[in-house]
Amino acid sequence: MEQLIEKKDEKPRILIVDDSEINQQMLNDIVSSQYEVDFADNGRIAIDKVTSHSADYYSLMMLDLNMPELGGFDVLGALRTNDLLDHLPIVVISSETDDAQIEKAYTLGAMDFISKPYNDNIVLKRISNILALFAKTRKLEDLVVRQFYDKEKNNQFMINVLANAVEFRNGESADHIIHIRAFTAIILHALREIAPQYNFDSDTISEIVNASSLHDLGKISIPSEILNKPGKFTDDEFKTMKEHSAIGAGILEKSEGFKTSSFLRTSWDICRWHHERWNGTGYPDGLKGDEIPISAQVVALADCYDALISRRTYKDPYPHDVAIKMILNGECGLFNPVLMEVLKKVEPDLRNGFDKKLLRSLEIEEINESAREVLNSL
Amino acid sequence: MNLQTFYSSVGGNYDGIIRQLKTEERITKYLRMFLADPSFSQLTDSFSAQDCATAFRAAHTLKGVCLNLGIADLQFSASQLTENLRKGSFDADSAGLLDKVRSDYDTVISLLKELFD
Repeated sequence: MEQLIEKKDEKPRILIVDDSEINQQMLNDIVSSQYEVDFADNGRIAIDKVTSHSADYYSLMMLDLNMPELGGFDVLGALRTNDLLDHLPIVVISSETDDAQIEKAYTLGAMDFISKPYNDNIVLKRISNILALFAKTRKLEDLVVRQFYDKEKNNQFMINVLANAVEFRNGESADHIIHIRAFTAIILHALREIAPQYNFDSDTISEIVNASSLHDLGKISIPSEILNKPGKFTDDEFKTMKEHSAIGAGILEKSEGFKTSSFLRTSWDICRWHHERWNGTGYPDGLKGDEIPISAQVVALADCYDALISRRTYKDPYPHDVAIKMILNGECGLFNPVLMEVLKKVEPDLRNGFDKKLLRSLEIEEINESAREVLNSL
Repeated sequence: MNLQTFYSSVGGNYDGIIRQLKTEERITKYLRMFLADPSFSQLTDSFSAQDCATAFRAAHTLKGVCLNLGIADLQFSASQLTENLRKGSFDADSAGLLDKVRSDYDTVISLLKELFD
């Protein structure tokens, strides 16, 4: 949370973009008593400077329209394309008198237009007003993000308490949940990158990651002598064990709000179908291929990998490389070929997936991104 | 030659510029910079090279600098040339408008040289 609110003790920094040295000097003389000042002689240098620093490095840009290399309109266009105008207010400074040009600057996202000759006090007032407005908006945003974050965090705690209760009874450590979440997040991010048909937004990713915690919810009603039996199951025991996926889905169905909650629906998909396999050999429904929701496919893969590399009452852990090879060879049932591509790509990340810090940072990023998306949709 | 004479000789208004820039020291600083400003030579160069886009930009910049410094006659002629070139091509009036800019510019420069002697 701390990193959301940046404390700035130093003076706000203004980037003056103008090809005329006299104009640069005049503006500098007006603003330098109150602001840090940096200069760019043309639009290309301006864009380079803005994009090579963090989003909050410059607080405001004063932008001339007519410049060699890239002009002011090009700068506005480029910053807009890169979503930088939300963070960097632009004041156009120009001797332009053609209304069409001034209108164009506003349309492209300029916050204000200051014409020549400059009046020191008016220039300063306009800058400070714009900065105050931006700071206020930013503060409100941070407030909303913080509330969103706290609420989301509490929801996650509750989900984890429940998931851990299931796993403890299951004789597995709390790490299993952490692993499943980390592996699911890593796989989803990579999947989004290599397969354009899965263009999950960050909300969807955090929903699937949260829901992955509950994949074994149904085990809560499997007798503990079966759950914790060392050695092989009898056919009957295995049959009982396999019921956990349908039972978990059943518990969720009975939950209040099931019909309207996309989180519960995603959890249901994962609970019921995380033992399905791509070629239809899984259970409980024998779904095939894309009949299995991608969320359940991903959690199935994560679950399978974690089962291989973890110690269980009935087996020793396999080394990472062996586990990856076994999955790729289809020894744990068949998965979506796209997911096998993803697995090869994220294999080094999975090796490090135990890194709880990595997982935490993934989640914080996810929540923050979700909150920003909510804000931007307002 | 003092600043008041300079401004009345270039069509400007000393009272206005001193209100805007507060001190003679500051005005003088910018006027010295004007002597080194490349806009005018860029303008004539781009006319020779038949490069209208650059000529437009140079005329525009020259106009802006004059606007800021209250150099009114040159600002006016540079502004007329700017509007003539905005369409992106030279026409029958362009050369005449440039001549007017040149004569206003030469006046300003010789007065400035006198002022700083």
